[in-house]
Amino acid sequence: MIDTRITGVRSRVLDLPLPDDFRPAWGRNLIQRDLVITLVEVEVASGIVGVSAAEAGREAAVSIDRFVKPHLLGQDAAQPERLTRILSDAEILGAPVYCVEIALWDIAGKVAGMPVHKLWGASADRLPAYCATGEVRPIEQRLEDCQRILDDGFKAIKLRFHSDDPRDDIRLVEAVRGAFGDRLAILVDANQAGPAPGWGGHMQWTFRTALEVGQELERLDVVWLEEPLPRHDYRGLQRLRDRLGTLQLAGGENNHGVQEFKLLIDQGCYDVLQPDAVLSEGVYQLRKVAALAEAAGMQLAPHTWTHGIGLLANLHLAASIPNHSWFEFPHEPPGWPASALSQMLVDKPWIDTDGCLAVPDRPGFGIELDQERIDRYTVADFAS
Amino acid sequence: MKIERVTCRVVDFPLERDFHPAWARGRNQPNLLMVVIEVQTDSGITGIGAAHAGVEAAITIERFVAPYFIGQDPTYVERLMPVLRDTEILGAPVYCMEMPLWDIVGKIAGLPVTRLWGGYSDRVTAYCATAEVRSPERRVEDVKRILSEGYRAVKFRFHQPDPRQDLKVVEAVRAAVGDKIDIMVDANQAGVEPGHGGHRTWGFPMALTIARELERMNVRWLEEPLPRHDYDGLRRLRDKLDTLSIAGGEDNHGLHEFKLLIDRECYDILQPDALLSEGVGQMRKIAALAELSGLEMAPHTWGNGIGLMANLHLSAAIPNCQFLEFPHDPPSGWTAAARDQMLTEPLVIDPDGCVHVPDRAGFGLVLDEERIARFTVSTHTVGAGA
Repeated sequence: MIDTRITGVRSRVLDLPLPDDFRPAWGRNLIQRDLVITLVEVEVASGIVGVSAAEAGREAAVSIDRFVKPHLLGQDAAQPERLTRILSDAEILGAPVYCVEIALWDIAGKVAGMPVHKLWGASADRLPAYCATGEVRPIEQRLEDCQRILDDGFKAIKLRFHSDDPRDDIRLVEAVRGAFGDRLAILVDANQAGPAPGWGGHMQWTFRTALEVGQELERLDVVWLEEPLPRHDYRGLQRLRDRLGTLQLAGGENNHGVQEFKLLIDQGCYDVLQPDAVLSEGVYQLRKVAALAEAAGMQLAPHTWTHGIGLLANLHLAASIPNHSWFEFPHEPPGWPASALSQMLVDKPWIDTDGCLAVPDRPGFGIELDQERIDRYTVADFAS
Repeated sequence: MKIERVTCRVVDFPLERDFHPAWARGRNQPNLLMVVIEVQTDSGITGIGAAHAGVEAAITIERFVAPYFIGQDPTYVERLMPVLRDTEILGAPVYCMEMPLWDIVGKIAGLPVTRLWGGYSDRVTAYCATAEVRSPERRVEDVKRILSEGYRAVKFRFHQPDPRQDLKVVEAVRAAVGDKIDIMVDANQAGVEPGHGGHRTWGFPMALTIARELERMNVRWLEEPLPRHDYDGLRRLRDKLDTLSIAGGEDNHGLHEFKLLIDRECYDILQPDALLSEGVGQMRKIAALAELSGLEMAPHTWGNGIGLMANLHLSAAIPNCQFLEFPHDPPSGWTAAARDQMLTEPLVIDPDGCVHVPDRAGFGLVLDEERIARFTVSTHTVGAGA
């Protein structure tokens, strides 16, 4: 038997540069020039190292150091179900660190010598990806982007609705439909569930605005509308969904813990649940959410706008469940190209000619770190 | 008026003696770790608050809160609240940052915050909250001391591997002092202190067994008998009981969770904490929901004297609060004096076992600057002079 007792937990805060200015639609005038993540490595007695990362800075590293590490050391990494409560209870006082479960399952996959999605009974080896944009851009520029995206091989695009008047955003969808017809599936994200922390509240849509936008998008044959209302407005989401027909409602990236997803499912808030294995719950715990969703006739399409490590973990998760949908592939050059998101990886994930993203055929989550780049951009090291 | 600077000091105070909190499963906690928070304005008024936390809270405030507070008018509390609410998406919960804002409003008005909020009372009955697991014999001695100190109520911790052993403490105390003291019981099943490796969960049958025994012994409330999100289980348990109240909520976060707890009829007594669960002003909204549902509030407070002060002002401002938690468990290191060592005046009880709201503006906090400076381990400043 391979000795899987945990001997070390190391967190490193990385401040990675972006190739160009990035103006996230949800950031309200913020210009983002870097990507701050906390790389987490869990080592076991046999020498195997499980890898994960938080989309966070020192607050996550300290939370792991204080509330997680002391209680993982000496435990068996091969028993994540015994350890996952440590992660969910860390959130009572600390930053959410559900991402640590990824490292434990990475170890399990490496011990088994199998990709994690197969360990979990794979449903697919590749998933149709949608190109997730992140900025609000003028219509002409976005039409050029769409042509490039089509040339790249994508079959779907996600657009951000963040104009002061959402009718301006609807005009963009009309223009994309007009120019490309049904060659490009269109998804829309309103980011109303919660802005990036600290950005001082956002221009909140009312229920009426959400319904009007939803009806327009339905007319334009959009696939889904994401986060039209605040993340805990269970009743409002349920009402909105009841009023719509072919347009799906999606959301969940900012909800935390299995119990919130149970509420979202039981109350019929969404057609497509979008938890993120880095942000919302443990990666295996999200399989429980997927099972609840499956039984309720809903889909699960993980949010992945974090970093390349999170993208891979969420890819394995989605490829292990039968009720997956379009897979989020963040790619918004020049500030936020997919290669920037994956700059800590040796192999940068990219779509194939069918616009699909393949699950790496390597043990664990198939995360191969670019150690040289990581060393170069490490700003804090919470070593074992 | 504008916010000029936000300062967080992480302070690691020593305890004079060992302290073995029941929820930490045998670990000795030799210290009181906290964050002292100051929000300074351009008018010279400074609002004071605290986190029951360490450097993770200071960093969270530095990254996600302070940059968006600087330059804002601190008296527009409701406009600043969404910043705090959304911080929890990525950072540590820092609802505690509402406290310094209300301290500023109180200081401008020249009123204790309780009265700013239409004070219901100027004092609240304290219950002596113990923290360690001790033998029935020792707890009988403790209760005699606690009664002589003036308390009218005491809370015990149930943390034995077999909780039926914990029942013996209540039996012994009832046998020794009869009904001279109100008894509360805390099972701490809602969530362990983070990282303590999962806890022995009771499950519904054990919770009901213990609750029925406590009802028989005329205990006032059973706190946190089940996990913090087991809404259905809590309602079922409550429906099966008569005189025993079910209490909880310290580990729930955000108005929306308290609305669920109230709507789903989980608890008789809600126990949010102004440093942990929601902003101190937002807790008045929880109190209003509870009042309209015929429920009571009994704020949780542990950690430090600044938090106790926030919860005291809140408790005295609302009509539906009968008891305030008053952490104090000598001869361990965790005493009222240790708890309040960052203040020049520790909070005490009067001969009726009540804690008084200080008749000073804001929350009425006077910091022991010399002591805080001595035990400060890191300082995080954003804004002017940073």
